[in-house]
Amino acid sequence: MKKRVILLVGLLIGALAVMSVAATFSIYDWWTAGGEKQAITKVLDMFQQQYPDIKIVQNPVAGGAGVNMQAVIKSLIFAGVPPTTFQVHAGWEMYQYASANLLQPITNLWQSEGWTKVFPERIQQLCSYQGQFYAVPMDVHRANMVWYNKAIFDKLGLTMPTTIQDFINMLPKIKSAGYIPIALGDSANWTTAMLFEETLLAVAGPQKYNEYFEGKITASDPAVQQTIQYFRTELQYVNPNHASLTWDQACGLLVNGQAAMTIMGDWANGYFMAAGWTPNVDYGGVAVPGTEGIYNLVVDSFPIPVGAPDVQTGYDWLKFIATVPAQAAFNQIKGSIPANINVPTTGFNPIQVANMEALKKDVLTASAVHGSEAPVAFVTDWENALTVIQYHPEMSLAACVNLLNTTAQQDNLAGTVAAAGVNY
Amino acid sequence: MKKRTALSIGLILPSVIIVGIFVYAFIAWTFAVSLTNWNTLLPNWSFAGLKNYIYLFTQDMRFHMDLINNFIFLPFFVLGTMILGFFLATLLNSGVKFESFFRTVFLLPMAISLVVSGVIWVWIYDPTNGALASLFQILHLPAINWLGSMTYALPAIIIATIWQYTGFTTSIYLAGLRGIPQEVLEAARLDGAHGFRLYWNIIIPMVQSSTVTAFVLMVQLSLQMFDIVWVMTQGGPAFATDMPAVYMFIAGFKQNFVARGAAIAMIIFALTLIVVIPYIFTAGRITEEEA
Repeated sequence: MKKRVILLVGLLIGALAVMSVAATFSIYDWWTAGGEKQAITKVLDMFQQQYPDIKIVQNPVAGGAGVNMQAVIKSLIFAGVPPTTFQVHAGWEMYQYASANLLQPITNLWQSEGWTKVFPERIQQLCSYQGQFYAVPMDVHRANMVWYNKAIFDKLGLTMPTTIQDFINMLPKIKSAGYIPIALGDSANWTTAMLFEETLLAVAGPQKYNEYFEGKITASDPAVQQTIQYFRTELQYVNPNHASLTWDQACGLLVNGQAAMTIMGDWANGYFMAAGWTPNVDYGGVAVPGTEGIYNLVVDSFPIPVGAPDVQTGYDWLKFIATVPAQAAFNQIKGSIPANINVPTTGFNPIQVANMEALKKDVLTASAVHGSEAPVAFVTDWENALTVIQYHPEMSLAACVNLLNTTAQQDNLAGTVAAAGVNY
Repeated sequence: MKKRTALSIGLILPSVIIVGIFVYAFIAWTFAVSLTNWNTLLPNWSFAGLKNYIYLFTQDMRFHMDLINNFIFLPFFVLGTMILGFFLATLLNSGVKFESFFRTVFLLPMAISLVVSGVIWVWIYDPTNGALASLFQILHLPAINWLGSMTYALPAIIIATIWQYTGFTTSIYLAGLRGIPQEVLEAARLDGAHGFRLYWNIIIPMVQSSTVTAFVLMVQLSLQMFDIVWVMTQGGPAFATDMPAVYMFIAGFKQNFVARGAAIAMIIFALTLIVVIPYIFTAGRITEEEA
């Protein structure tokens, strides 16, 4: 009996000892799918090599495009046990923590590391809140991309148009040839919202696009009304089983030759490469017609929460992920591009290289769907409103406009953005 | 005697404390939060009265749809699982060969996590490659886009959840049927009760406590339905399968409408109480009668 008690106490002490050591550097992310998982593993390995004494505890939380992980993070922060760092979309998703004083300002680090010279200005805005920096970008995705099956385009004698109107005009031709014009997988409704978002960017241009998500113009604006009409037309040319598919299964429709195009962020690039396709041979990926010269950003970043254990290791991590080798290694595997503009283009595929060039010269906007451009609460309701429009083709244009406007009013979009005082 | 009392109190106390904190204190906490303006990430304890409840009932289109969906879901799910469960339990109890094999077959779905069965049902319902689509093709029926249709998505989820929980009601009814003394049935047969009359007048009244238990559990499950909906449709298309519990999760954890999420939780709780409170009283009565 006594021996057993001693054994149990010993085990307990041992477990506590392991736990206290293991808490050194804890990181939360939602990179659990193929490609992205290898990318974060690779970077963590590199980090470990550089700092061999650190004990890294990676906590991946799958699902819901980060919603599930955010639920965990919010619980941890309120329980007073925040991790050292966690993945967050730069922009409004990050602002919600910064505005509540839950993140440590890292402006000094940005200045001493000279990051204002290596990250584009719009990305700097997305990483800062009311004059202070709070996060460091790890990668840049481009939301406004259209991907197409080259064999189908060649067979039908098509080239990718340069205006959204020509894009819309092309859809019936593809359909009558027996192909699905636009592959869509909206078992989670953010993909439908992306269709609207990128169409809005093409119709309204970057200035009005920003004003719409700032609440300065409403859905009654002619550009937004035109977007609603294009959006509804596009939805008539998607695969009938869209609601059962995920975005990557929709990309699969291109690979197996059933669909001609899909509108999706450049994470689709990683999918096509993994499916054995060669860029610019089997498939092409360009800016959505009408958005040439505009780069709609999705930026993954890392902040340090207030009360994080071992802040110094957190700073080391931030410094490390900003470096050229880390950004190159991570983004080559993941299919995104580096936020650091000094990363050389060697080792990236031609579509990534084109985007790396574009990032330096394009007008930069941010994706609302991916939590950067508009308050999170509004975006959720806005996406749902778009789904309602999607499934009610009998709704009049005025009713659609009214629904979108009611959503913006109920969530006080204009007031929230004005009160936050963030730059666009 | 005194020693025994002290011992019983000592044994019961830990669970009373744990239940007190983790169930009742948290219900009280949730109720308190639902009366505040905490619709931000950071706690905001300023008193809002019934503002969140009024918003949900008067302005919130999504919540209205959730309630409608839930009240459509509830009777189909509850009656479906109970009738099917009773039917299967009767078959199992009729001395069928390989009874334990069939019992396992019917109970197995219950052992599968709702998330796993949700994923399986998504495959079954896939309109191009799904099992159901192939079956419809063989039968020359038109293809139905189950989960992508405003009309069929909710029935599709009801079918999947009935499949999942019928094993549960089957086991409840099987226990009830096994509890009927053989003498009673023989006496009834001697008095000329057969077939339908035997069931209607003797068996169904005698498994009343099983019926009440199954009813309460199924109603409570359907009011709190979350997992399978989250996995299969996330409440879509266009709220066709959205449930209060799904909205509660999104409002509380994604949109930071913490007080609104708490208000939804309290409404679900109140609806559950409507069936649970009578159950507590009738269950007490039935046990006394049987004793």
